[in-house]
Amino acid sequence: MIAEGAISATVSSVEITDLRVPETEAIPRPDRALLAKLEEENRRIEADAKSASLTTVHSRKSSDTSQISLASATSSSYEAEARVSGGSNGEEDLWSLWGRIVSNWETEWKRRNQFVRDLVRQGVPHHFRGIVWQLLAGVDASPEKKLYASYIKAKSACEKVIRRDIARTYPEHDFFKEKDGLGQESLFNVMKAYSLHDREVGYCQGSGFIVGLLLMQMPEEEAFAVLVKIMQQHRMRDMFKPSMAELGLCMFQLENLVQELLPDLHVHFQSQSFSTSLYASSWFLTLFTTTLSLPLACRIMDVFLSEGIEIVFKVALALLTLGKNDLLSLDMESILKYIQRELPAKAEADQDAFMNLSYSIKVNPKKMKKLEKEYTVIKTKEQGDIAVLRCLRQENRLLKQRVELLEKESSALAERLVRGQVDLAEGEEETFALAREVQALRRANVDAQQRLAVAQDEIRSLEMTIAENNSRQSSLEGIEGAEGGGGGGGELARCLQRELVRARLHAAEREAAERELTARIADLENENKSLRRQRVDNNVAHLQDELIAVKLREAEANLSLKDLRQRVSELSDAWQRHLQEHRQEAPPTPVQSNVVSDIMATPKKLLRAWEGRSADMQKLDEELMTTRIREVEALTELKELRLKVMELETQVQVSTNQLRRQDEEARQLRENLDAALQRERVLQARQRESQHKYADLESKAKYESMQANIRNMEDAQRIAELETEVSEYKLKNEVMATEGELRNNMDDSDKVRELQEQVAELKAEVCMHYTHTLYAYN
Amino acid sequence: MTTAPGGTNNFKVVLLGEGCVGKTSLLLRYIEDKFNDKHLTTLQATFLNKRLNIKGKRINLSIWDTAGQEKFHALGPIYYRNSNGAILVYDITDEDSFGKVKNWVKELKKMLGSDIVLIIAGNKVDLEHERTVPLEEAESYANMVGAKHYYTSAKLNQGVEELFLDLTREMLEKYEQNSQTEVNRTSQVLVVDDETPVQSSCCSGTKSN
Repeated sequence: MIAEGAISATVSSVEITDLRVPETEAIPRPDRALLAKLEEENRRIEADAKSASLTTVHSRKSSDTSQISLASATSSSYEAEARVSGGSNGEEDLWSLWGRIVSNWETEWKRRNQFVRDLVRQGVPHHFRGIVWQLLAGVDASPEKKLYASYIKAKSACEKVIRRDIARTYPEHDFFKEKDGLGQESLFNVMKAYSLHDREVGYCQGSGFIVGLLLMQMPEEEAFAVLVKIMQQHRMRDMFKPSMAELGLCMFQLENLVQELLPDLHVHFQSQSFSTSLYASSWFLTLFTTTLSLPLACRIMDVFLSEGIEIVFKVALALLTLGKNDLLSLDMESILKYIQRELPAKAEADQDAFMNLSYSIKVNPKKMKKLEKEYTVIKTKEQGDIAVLRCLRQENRLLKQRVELLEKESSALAERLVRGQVDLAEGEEETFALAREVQALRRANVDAQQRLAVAQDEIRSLEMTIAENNSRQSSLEGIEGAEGGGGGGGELARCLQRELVRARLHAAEREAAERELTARIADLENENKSLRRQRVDNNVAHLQDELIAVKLREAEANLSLKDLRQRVSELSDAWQRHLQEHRQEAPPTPVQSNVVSDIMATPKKLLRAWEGRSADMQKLDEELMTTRIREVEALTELKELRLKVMELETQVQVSTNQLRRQDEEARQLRENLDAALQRERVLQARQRESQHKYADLESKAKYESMQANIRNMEDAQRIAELETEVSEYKLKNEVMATEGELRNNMDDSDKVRELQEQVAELKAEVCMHYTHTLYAYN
Repeated sequence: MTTAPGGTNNFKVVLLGEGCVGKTSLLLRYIEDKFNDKHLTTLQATFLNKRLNIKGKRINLSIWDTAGQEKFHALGPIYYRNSNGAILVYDITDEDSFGKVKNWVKELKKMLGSDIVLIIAGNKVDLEHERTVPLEEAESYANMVGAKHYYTSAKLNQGVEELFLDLTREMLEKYEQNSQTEVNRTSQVLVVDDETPVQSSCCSGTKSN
């Protein structure tokens, strides 16, 4: 017993390296020696099985604990632990009990599993801890130990990251605090080896504390093997995987347990938005080594190795139960501080009571399973949501881009529309201006027509006067013929003179009229020019026509003027001649007309009449003259009228021309208007087209997004399929591995069978021999 | 971001960065003015409050310290969600840690847009002679991404106070700006919330030493 205790104590000491090999192999030997004694004791203890009454005093206790405290830094905690095992009385018995269990582990573990577990719950004595942990982890013959040597030599990608945390793992602990000392070196070695052994996990912050705890109890190689078991058997590997999904699950489970067992606290945490991962993630990642003192952490590790991760939940709940009343009155920041400082102290105060409190908490495995399922559902849903979200976000992005494009297009279209509308407005303005011009022209046209009508009226009236004059002339001629030409010469002369004056006046008047006409022509030409400045070419032709017409008229007027002058001069000549004749041969009547000579042909009566009527003759002559003058006058008037008619005709022509031009213009304006309208229609059509295009694009975008959705869903399905395939392959792989193992086993069993056969043969031989000897004896 | 009834502005700040660059040490130095080169690896996020007064405004900083190893970010970016400011810490003697800062900048910009005030801190200037991250590279990078750059030493207490003070000032400014354009901001925040779960692995910051 003493030897064993000494050996296990050295396990954690700094000098251990040399002893390592002999130690593991040495254990069975002293065990065998002690076996008989221990069995006796064992039987006694078995009698009061679970009560584990470990009440005998042992004087060695204090010396042993002091020896242990040398090995690890925290001596006081070991004294505390000693108390845990039920007072100093039980110490020796407990040791012998543990010694027996350890030496006969397999049988004890199988036969009295519950008893051993309960014993572990009481705390494994420090001396036995290293070996018990190895036994609990079942690393006796694990192949990892052999691999360790090769891992040590290899290089790991995680070395840098691991190194960074080495100095920050148990920095206060004697074994680890020395920079690049033995402790730090072994810590690094084990973690590097693990990062090579399990490349998926590699290195994860937090695992260092577990490794450190192991290294306090056993050498590197064993610590590595135990670490591998802890990772594989107790969910810890999943905890440290890159996604840390297991940690999330544990948080979820713990949160639900808190809700169930400590509802007030749960409500309070929720109200402070104090999430479980804020306080409990390190509990799970380091198995309380960073929260509680090492002795307590060791006790938790004892139970962890024998019962699994459930103990972490129990301890967590026990901690929260301890601090519940205080926690309920704190705010978020203080909760955090309290959990970090006061709460561990509270638990430390009475470790046994605390551990018993933990054991008393029941965690229903079924409930845990149920929670696990719920969590998986939530996670998958979340992932699905995330996938959908991602799809939607991408879609959203695409749609936004498209919207931007469409907006750009639409703004371009709007611009074009505006431009079109501006064009249209300009066109309308032009149209309006043209319409106004047309109106003005129409008015001018109406005016011209009115003037034309007036002119025609005048022409008609003039024609009538001409006709009257003609008739009057003919009647005068008739009178002339009937009466001959007598009459008072003097009066007639005066009359003629007056007429002459009048004729001259008329001539002057005509000249004035003529001047007026020329002025008017000029006016008209100007008017023409101003009216149609734009279409000068056309107008010039018209104006030239008009000019020619006007010139013709002028020439005519000149001609008639000359005629009239001639007439007037003729008349004045005739008048002179007449006056001379009058003065020279007053009595004798000049043979003036055929009528007179005709009258003279009748002899007697004519002679009488001749004398009596010479005066009448003169009168008649005068009258004749006057009539002639009048005739001339009438003629002049007639000519004048004709001129006027001509003038009016040209005016009419001009007006018609003007009308034609106005019509043309109006037509052009209408055409312009039409063109503008058409342009507007085209623009509207284009706008409609753009709107169609916009709608098309929108629908297309929608369609595409739907397709993208579908594609995404398909992808997700395909991924799921692939995942199932992968799991199938994994299964197959495992099956193959187990088959391989089985085959190996079969080999063994074959050998066994052979051996059995050999045994049987030997037995048969022995039997034979025996019978032979019997025979011989007989 | 939230304003408590008493007129105190609450800002959430998160310390991010590769493991062992000095996140926890910076925090410890700022809050408790202590330096402990023997603290444990940070394994779970934790936070501390700091109250201060700037321009007559009462401000409460909730500073979150996170675990540095990349794996720990699978647990959810609850740490930087709704943060007003982020301090991205790197170790001037470790180029990889500066690379992680770049990753963080990318992730934060993606998740939070420009709603978050970024500060890049090159820690451990007491080890200037071992520097491997070139000074100009770090500063020009910070400039490029619109972050302020500080050199700090938690050990010698250099630049720590200034860093937190300037960060708080900037957050206050941003908060005041944002309260004018509240509508835009909320929509952005929505997007952020949506995307947060997707992101899992960029490195996160942790502590320091």
